[in-house]
Amino acid sequence: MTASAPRGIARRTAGHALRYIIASAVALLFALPILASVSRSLVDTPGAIRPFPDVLFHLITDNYVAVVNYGAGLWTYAGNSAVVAIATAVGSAIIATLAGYALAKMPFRGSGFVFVLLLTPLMVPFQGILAPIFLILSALHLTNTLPGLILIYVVFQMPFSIFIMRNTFSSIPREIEEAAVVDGATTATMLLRVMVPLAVPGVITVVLYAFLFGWNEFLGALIVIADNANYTLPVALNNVQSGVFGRVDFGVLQAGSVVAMLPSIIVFLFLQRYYTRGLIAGSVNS
Amino acid sequence: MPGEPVARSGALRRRRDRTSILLLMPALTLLTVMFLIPLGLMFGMSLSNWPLFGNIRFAGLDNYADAIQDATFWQSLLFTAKYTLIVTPIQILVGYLLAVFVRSHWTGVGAFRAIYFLPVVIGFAAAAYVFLTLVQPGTGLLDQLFIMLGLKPADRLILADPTLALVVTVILSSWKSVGVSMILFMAGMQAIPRDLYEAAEVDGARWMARERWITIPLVRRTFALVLVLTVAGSILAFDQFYIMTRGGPQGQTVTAVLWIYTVSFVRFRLGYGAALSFILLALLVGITALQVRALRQEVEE
Repeated sequence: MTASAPRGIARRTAGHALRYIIASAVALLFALPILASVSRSLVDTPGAIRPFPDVLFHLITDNYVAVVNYGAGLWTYAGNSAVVAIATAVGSAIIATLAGYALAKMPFRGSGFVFVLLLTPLMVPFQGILAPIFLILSALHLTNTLPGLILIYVVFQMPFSIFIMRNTFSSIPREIEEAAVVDGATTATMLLRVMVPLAVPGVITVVLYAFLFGWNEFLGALIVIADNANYTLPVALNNVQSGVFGRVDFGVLQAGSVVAMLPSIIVFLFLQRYYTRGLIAGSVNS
Repeated sequence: MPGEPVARSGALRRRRDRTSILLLMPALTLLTVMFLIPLGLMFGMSLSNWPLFGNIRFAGLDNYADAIQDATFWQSLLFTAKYTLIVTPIQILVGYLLAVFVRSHWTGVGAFRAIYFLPVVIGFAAAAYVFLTLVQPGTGLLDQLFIMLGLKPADRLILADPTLALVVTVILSSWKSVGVSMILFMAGMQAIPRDLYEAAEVDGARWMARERWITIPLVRRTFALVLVLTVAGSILAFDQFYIMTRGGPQGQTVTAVLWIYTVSFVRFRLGYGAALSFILLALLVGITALQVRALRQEVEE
């Protein structure tokens, strides 16, 4: 400790305080758009003359009620999105677990090639092959259906999902497998009772990413779904915004957006760790 | 190879291999039907005249010839390039700075990280709807801000001005994606051994110098990754342009994917759309390859 220790501590405290101030200011900046959206959703149109509507005085939830009734109804659209997101998550998890396990624990001569092959969708973005995918769906009579959309989503989540699951399984020590084999485990038992429970973090990561993708995706849904009743939330909101259902009501649009954002935010806040892991794991690959 | 199974006798080996392939069947089937076949199909489509309804005719390289003469296509590529060149440095710089902030452990840093990252998970469509509120004349925060900064007169719509529309979409994309760069940079920074910093501090190096000589060189690989991801993401931008500007005042904010979408699904010229997609994909692959090569040399130095 030098003689200037007290001054050093004071400087450090000031530095810390400054850090909090800056961090908070930036945080406010980041949260502002969402807060503005929420506040706008709680206000009736006439009251929106004021720049930042005063929530306390105008806590009208009319917009949320209106949103429920727009078009085929909010719950229909949210329900569609939920079905798609959950199905994408479950489908991705199952396919990726099976494939990841096979690639990590049961390699054969062509395994490496198969793995790279399964990663190719990463290089060809889905926006690039929309048209032919649409035609294939057409041939399968799956256009304008949620299952068709789910298929697309699962395929494009596959590279990342399989990558994660393969990594997860790879890091499970061989000794565990060998012990299970000694105990007479069949492949099915091995997989279901031994491996999968140990791979749960990976599964959660896969499910999380797949769910968010399915819930938020826009372009694919826009192209595949044509019937009002089948729209997912992002696309339905687009119709609200473009006035297809009548005059554009921004309060209603924001109410719908808030509903669209809420699950993503909640899911993320609870599963942050897994999201970050997935991101970093993906970056290590590159 | 990690997790390599113990060697087995021939028959058992073959059975295990068969099981392995069986487990891979769902993934491979899906890949073939929903990706490989469409990919091949697209090639054929790009060489045909392929309306949604009606006769499909082989057309050789006509579509590609049309593409070369398509002013809107080139304009969309140019706009996409402009947009990419603006968004990328912002994302990298801001992501880096935020990472500097949140990489150490202090009380509450987790909450800040979460807030900075939050926009990433809401999807581009939701982000676009949110920003629509912000540009509303009279009530939108961005509208007020732009007026205050003298960027526009009070009675003009933000989105009616191509430059301002671009600015807004840049702000949107940055706001939305900076969290990813932040986390990636943070991970890269956290891998740097603390001793290096401590040694530098002992030598009297101040914060900026420490960043410049230690952090920046050692996060080169992360920087490369962030660069590639940001550029690729920007080249493929669609949602926010479709929802907010619809291609902007008189088609001045049309991105490449937006144009391809219009050609394929609004004008139903699927063959032509396929050709355009191929060109775009080729550009994307080329640009990514260039980046990787250039960065690999950098990293090795």
